Amino acid sequence: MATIDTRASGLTKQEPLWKRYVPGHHWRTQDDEFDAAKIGIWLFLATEVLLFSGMFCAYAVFRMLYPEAIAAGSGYLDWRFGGINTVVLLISSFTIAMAIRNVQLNQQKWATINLSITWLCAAGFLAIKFIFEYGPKWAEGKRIGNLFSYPYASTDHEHIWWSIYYMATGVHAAHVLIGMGLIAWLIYRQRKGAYGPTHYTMMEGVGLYWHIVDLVWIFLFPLLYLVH
Amino acid sequence: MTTVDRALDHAHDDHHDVPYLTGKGGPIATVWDWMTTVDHKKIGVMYLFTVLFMFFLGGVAALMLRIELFEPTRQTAAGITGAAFAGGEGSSVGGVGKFYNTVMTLHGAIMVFMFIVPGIPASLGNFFLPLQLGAKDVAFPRLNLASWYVYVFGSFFGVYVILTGGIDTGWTFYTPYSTSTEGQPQVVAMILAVFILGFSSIFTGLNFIVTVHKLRAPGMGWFDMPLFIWAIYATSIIQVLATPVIGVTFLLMLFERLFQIGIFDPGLGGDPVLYQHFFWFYSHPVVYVMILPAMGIISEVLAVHSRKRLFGYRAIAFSSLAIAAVSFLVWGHHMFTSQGELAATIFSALTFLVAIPTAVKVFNWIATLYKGSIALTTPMLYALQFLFLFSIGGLTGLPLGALSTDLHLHDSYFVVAHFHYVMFGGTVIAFLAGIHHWWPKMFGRMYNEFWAKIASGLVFVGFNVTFFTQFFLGTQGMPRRYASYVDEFTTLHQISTVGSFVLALGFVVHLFVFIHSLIVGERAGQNPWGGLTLEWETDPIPLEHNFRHEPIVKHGPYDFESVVPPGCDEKDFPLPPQDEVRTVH
Amino acid sequence: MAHAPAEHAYDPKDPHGFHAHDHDHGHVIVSWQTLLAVLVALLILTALTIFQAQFEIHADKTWGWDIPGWVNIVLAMVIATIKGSLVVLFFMQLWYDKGVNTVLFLFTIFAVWLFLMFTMIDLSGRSTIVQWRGGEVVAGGSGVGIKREGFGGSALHVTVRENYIAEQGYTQEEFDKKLAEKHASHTRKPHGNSKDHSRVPTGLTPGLFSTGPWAELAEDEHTGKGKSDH
Repeated sequence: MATIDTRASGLTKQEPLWKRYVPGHHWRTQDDEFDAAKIGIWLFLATEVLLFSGMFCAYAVFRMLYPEAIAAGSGYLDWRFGGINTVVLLISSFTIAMAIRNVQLNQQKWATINLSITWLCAAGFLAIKFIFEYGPKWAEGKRIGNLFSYPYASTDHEHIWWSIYYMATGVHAAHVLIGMGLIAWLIYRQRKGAYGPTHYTMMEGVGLYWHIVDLVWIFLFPLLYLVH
Repeated sequence: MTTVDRALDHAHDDHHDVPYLTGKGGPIATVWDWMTTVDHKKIGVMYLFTVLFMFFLGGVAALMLRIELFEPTRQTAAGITGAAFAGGEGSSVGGVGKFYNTVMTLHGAIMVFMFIVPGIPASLGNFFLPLQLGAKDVAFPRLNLASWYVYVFGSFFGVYVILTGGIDTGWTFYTPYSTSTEGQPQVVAMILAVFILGFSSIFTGLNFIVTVHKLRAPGMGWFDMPLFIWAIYATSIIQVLATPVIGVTFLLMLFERLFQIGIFDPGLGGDPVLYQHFFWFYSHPVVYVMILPAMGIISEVLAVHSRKRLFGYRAIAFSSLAIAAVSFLVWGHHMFTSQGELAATIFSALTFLVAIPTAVKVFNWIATLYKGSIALTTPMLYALQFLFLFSIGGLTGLPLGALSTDLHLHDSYFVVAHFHYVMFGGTVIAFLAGIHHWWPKMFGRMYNEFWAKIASGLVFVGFNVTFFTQFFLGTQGMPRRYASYVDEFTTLHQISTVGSFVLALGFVVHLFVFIHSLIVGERAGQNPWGGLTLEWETDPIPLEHNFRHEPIVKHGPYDFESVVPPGCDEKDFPLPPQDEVRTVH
Repeated sequence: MAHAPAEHAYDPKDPHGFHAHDHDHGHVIVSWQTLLAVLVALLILTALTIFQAQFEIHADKTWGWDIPGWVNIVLAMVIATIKGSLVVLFFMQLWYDKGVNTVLFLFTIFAVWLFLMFTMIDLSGRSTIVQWRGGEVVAGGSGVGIKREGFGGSALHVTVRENYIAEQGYTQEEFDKKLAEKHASHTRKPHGNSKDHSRVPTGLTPGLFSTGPWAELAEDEHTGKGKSDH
């Protein structure tokens, strides 16, 4: 949350924005503010993890109650798309970590490139998800809850499998979408010179958020696509 | 605690050196200033008033319930008898029941989600946590303001939905009733409202944790923090870790209602007990979100008003954390009759763990009073009431935590009485203690001590008459959430209803005392009670940036035997002869 | 609680001595070699977990090996945990970060564990003491409670199937053939073993479906008696 205050810092407008950054009035140092922001982000990530834990709990319970439905449902998913998406997300996690490193070293051009790759990976993830997974499945009638109308169901409780599948991946996809917005914002700000070696709090925060999105997928992928 | 001039104390802008209550020119400018403020004190005051308004709404609903229960409702040939609110759709007993259920949901949902959960932390906590830490503000001031707006939006949305939709699910929204009941599309909106309120709770908790970690005044180590802060800190941990689970619960519930995803609804293959697990994983820890800050207030009030070092500072501090930890282990005791016996046995055993840190606190408080110089001010009266009422509430929890007795008492008025003793006798009473204790600091004026004491007496008597009778009703078999009852319970119900009006009268007197104080109250000094924590070092009405100079902590928060309180004359608060002081560390 | 005056020289920018010994904390620059190595490790582990799952199916089909279900899930979860740890430690820099964030994250994981564990203890052990509690909601399980035009009364997938057959004008034989084809194309058949199934899905909670649209379904089922095969 950059409040740019040229008055107090005494720096001219020629300097990049990150050099002119002044921490909030209630902070002693910029480092304190950075540490605090980081604890705040980690607390936020804790809430994210617990949010997804509900999905994992539902998965575990229904895997126990209706193992055949989960096994059959898992059989409908193609591990190749799940695998490609895993790779895409892992790469994006790597590039955003690299972008933060670039900013720390004031390699602004590389930071833009890495952030852009991250954004493209996120878009690619959603594209694969919607074009190759959600789309065909929805068309076949493999839908959520009472919209379920797949005539070739082989077990009693397949509609519950699809409910869990759509809820878990849907909430995850929503997080990817939000992440894309945040990364786009980062690219815009970074182009304006807002982030540099002494101030990159926002980059760090979005980076951590993006990694947690990746982390959730690392567990969703085997549970949905591979375990049977 | 001494303040030191230091060069670091950056040049204050002049306009920051006015008391925070000072207006900003015209009324519109002042309102705009309050609506856009990031000052934790203003946000705390705004929270205080909105939370109290919600308490008023929930209280009105409670009185309506008690009026309805004054007489048993009966269908006779001549029509309905004994129904207080038989108008409208209440032309049948079923209609009366439906109306009763709606009011009960209104009371429960408002009191839990909109009053007692945000209650103390967001109002008094917001105001005094940074002050007691010696900070200029909370860590993320704008998030703080966002929290208030989210809270106000969620609250009014929720109240609007209940009033217009007639939601009768109860505040727990148990499935399958809440997911499949016909003609209640508003359940979706209500769930959304609670979902929104969760964000406000998370924002506040997150903010406080970071503030405690990063904004303590120079010299303030973890064990120099006032115990109110320890309590708020433990509360915040619970808020951050538990609230997201209610978020995902209500998200799933939302889809359950919209698309019948079949996770909670047994008619679709779901498991309604799974919903209860989800729900209580949040809602049990949240019981401690309600009571922990109250315990923090009691620690402050007892120490200051008996002018005595708190007995067992570290024990009380750690017991707060212990309660927070144990709170995540015991949620199953809300579901003894619905879950399997194996889990019930485990949960029952774990439930008794709660008694340990709680008892540690109570014994330490009582030991604090021993040989203290007790001043029976209104906050102290409330603190003493707390010790009495909270102990009853806690001890009646034991038969509910034991499996065998719970089978008899489950869902009876005994449960209602038990949690009202904890939630009202504990939290609300402590909230009142805190409001009176800090009122002079918040508004710079004293209140009328005589009338405040009268009011506190009315509250005490009214509360006990209302709820102690309900222990008898419960053990005799009166089930909760019913609009009517068998004739044998009539006397006890009528006593309870009368009590509720005495209680309401007490609050009306309090209201007048507060209004009187705000308008013509005597100006309070900097430190009317002789407290040693940092908030008493500020001006009578704190400045916008809180402290004139950054405070440096040189003594503990409860060193009453060796430190003259800031802003006080030694004559008013004489120190004991120093050779008689035994310090226990 | 005596308060010891600060012993070290007072640094106004660092009143608690937070940074006295750890000037670099919070601003670690991780080398690109480390990040790249972590990425490579993650990709290898992804390949490994896919291979593990595919191998099991292959072994089942080709050699008729019946690898118990728990091997699959344990291996998949172990690999996922390793991958997750790598992300958290190096991409999220917890390895280099302040202790408070690590403690916080561990508490979060602990809370998740409590949540899953206690819920599973209840739902999997419901019949441990009283048998009839282990029953399963069979009638509801197949979605008879669905609210949808022309649905309800019988299982969701059955209605869907009947509607589809009528719509397409298939005979039962034609449909069965199509059904077999559909499922032949799936790489994997459902694991029928019950080694890792915590409770056998039989029985019906007594009285739960004695009213409402599924009342007649409940009559066909064995009511009242504990049918759990534990």
